Amino acid sequence: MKTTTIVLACLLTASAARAQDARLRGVLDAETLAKVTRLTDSARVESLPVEPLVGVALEGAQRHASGARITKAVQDYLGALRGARAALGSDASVAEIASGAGVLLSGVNGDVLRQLRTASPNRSLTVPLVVLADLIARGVPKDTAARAIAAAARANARDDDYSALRRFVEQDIIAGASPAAAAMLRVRSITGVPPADEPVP
Amino acid sequence: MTDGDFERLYERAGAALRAPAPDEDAARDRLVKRIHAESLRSTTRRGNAFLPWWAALAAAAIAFAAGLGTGRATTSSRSSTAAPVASGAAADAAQRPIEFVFVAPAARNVSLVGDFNGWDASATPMRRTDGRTTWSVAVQLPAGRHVYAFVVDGDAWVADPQAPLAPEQWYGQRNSVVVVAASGDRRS
Repeated sequence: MKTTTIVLACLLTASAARAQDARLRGVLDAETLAKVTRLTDSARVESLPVEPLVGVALEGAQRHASGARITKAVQDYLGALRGARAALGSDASVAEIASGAGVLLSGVNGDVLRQLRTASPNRSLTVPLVVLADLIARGVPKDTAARAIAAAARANARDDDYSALRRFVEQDIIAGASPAAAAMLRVRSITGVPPADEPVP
Repeated sequence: MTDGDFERLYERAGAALRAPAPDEDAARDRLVKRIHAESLRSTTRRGNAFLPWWAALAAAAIAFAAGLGTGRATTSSRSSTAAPVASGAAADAAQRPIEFVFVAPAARNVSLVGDFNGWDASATPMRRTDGRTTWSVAVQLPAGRHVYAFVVDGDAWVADPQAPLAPEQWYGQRNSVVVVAASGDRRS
């Protein structure tokens, strides 16, 4: 009985070691490594992307962040990945889920992601979501940014259009325009129609 | 021609001018597309993927004043579409060469860090490409969304001033995003 217990314990330990990412083992302390590994294991069980979580932990280690901060970052990102996958659907790509998580972390409601998926069921949302998050990061109000991207999606904008929208808004802001006005003006010039005035979720 | 004839003629001419041209919508669409295409050409013709020359100069001046620099990520062909696309979260095994460019004349060394190299500042050093101000490096990236930054002189982490900003600020500073498109993939 005692031998069996020891063998089982060894097997469990070996299994846990295998689950740990080799890249994390050398840069995280034991406690942080254990906590981060539990989170990445959860992601794996839920079929969520693990690489973005490992990336956040590695970035924290390279920036000399504390173990608590690294664990919190991975935990928060895991929550955002869950929310993005729930909103975008189970067939969303890894890049879409990661981009969607970024949008949720910007404070945008998950219903915006659902609307975008409905408007563009067969197109990748990676670039639109990256641009949406960028607009918000540059000071465009969340609702305005969401409305602009939704209008572009309804107009069947291509990835190049979204990239152009981002560039033009950025240069308008540098030139002194208000971020909100720049976003509304530029999306209209790209889609040819003003963004709809319906409330943003 | 009587006064009545003139009045009728004026009315018909006015009505004709007020009426929309048969293909007005199509013409407006064509015009918008042409303006859009011209705007894109005017930015890429000057070799800058994101900004017109005056805005790039302003951004560069601000960055230089801060002792940092300006940069961009492009495909190695320098086609400079610079769509926000690519990284370690890749679903596509095929890799594409992406060139990262950063202007930092005062820097002693610059390296590229991102989720594709474990954020290791020693993994991907950049080289001066014009002998003075510009640093660049080309890396193979799988399709997907990649997050990255430049590290100047070993300790200053700087987002790419010409790329989309990453919304996540886990450790107090923003990074940049590049998206590498998957060839023939419906969703990347």
